[in-house]
Amino acid sequence: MATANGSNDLSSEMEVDAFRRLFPLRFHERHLLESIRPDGRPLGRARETTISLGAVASANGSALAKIGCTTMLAAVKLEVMTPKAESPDEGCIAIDFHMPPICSPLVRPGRPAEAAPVISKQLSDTILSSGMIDLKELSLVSGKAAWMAYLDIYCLDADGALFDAALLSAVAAFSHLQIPVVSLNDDGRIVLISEENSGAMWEKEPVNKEKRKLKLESCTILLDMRAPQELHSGRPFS
Amino acid sequence: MKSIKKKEAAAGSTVSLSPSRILARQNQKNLHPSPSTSPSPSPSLAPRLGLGQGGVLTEALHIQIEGGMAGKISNTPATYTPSPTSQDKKRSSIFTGSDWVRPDGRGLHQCRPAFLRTGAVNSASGSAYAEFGNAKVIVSVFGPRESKKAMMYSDIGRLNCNVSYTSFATPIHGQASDSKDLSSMLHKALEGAIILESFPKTTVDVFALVLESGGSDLPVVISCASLALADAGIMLYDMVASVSMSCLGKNLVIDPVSEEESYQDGGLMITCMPSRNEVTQMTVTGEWSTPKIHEAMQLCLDACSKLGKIMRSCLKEAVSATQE
Repeated sequence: MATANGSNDLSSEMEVDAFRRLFPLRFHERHLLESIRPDGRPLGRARETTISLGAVASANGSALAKIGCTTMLAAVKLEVMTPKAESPDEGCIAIDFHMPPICSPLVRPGRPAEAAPVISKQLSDTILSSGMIDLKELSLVSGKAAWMAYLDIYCLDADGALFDAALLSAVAAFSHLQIPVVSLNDDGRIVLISEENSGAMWEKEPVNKEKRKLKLESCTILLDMRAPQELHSGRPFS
Repeated sequence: MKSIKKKEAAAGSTVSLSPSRILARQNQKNLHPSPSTSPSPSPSLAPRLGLGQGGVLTEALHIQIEGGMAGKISNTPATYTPSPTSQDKKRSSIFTGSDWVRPDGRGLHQCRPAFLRTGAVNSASGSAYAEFGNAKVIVSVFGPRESKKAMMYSDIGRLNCNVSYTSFATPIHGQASDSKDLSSMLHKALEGAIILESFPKTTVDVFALVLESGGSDLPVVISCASLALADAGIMLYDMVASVSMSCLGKNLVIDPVSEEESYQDGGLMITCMPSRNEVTQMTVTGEWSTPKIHEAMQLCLDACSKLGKIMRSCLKEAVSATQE
């Protein structure tokens, strides 16, 4: 890609890598003039995207999404809570996005990534306001017990398109979610019904035998942000 | 916290939320700058608090929460995990002196099968992913890179380690083992093996993330970290392999799972450089008798040398794959 261009003498003398680091803007501009990106993709093409469900065995629902090198691991864990007084029939979702230090050289244990709280807020706004999940499905016993879904998304490798990958993995994790069968104990506690007992007698009817999976409203995930995504998708340059 | 839950489930008493329980839970979570409310001692499950929007307004960094958060109570309601109603009968079997049957069917002196892969993280200088049974760990190595401005000049390199858990790593949400402890133990295990003189004035950062905790986490982290260091091209005296053992009554079990670790009378962890036959770190906790320690050490060292061979073959595969 080090095509000699008479207008800029320096570029023809330098190696590609050095030019990329020293003059990042010019490097990308030169590519855009040819309507191509540094990794050879045309402007309109996204990187290879893969999603795999069930990555984490200890969570109730999980998914791993990869867009190119960007890797996101999302997991949903369900816990029981008492629903709020004004909405006794609704559960709750708590969404959290983390960028641990392994994902990028810019993140350190004492210095969190600037992008993390922004994406976290964006994600929770998107998921909660889109109406993808009906909170009424997370209810167990009206007024007494409901599911609290903790959705945690960890960025394992940060290489641009973080929000897209995070949203993909979050939706995939919810689609993989398997709500465990529980019943109400004598003391008002919800307990799991373990598989071995299913043949024997149940003291209490399982509370949610039918509703084991969430129904997700079909939502179009807009992989928008094409133009800023271009600048975003390359290696981050300081 | 886990033991409190078990006791209450076993005793069948009504759940009353004690303040310490709320604080312990909130210590793991992101907190809002909200007015604190005192928890009511009533037998209802949780004080009826409204939930702030998504809990993400302030990014109090998840990893950094240990100090100074006591006394602050967030808006999120307290929750519990619905635990199965089974009693644990296994503990009694240890007391009667019968042989311990391992939950995953392994022999007492049989380690878990190891899955190791380098190059897991593209943004890092070197990285590795390790899966020992259910314990899954990713380690990234960055460096050698510039030390912080505040650091004094040093003519040998520096090593900086950090271990953190995901919130879904343990069966109970947000309950991570003492990660500060693990970070310093990882540091001690690795610093003997790295040739620090080869990168003066700079720092090598080793960051580990435990994706799923399946028992014997620290040995897995250490082995994975040494693979990642090798992948990054940092000069090492030798690969570092680590194995731990548990003493359960009269049985010695190698490479324990979380369940076995919770029942153990004593634990022994050895980190060594197999080809050089040198031990970089040895950790003994709990109750041991001298002949048992000797036996356990010997078993661990044998397992470490086997693990060292597996690690080398993993590295060789990675190199030959890139050469093709």
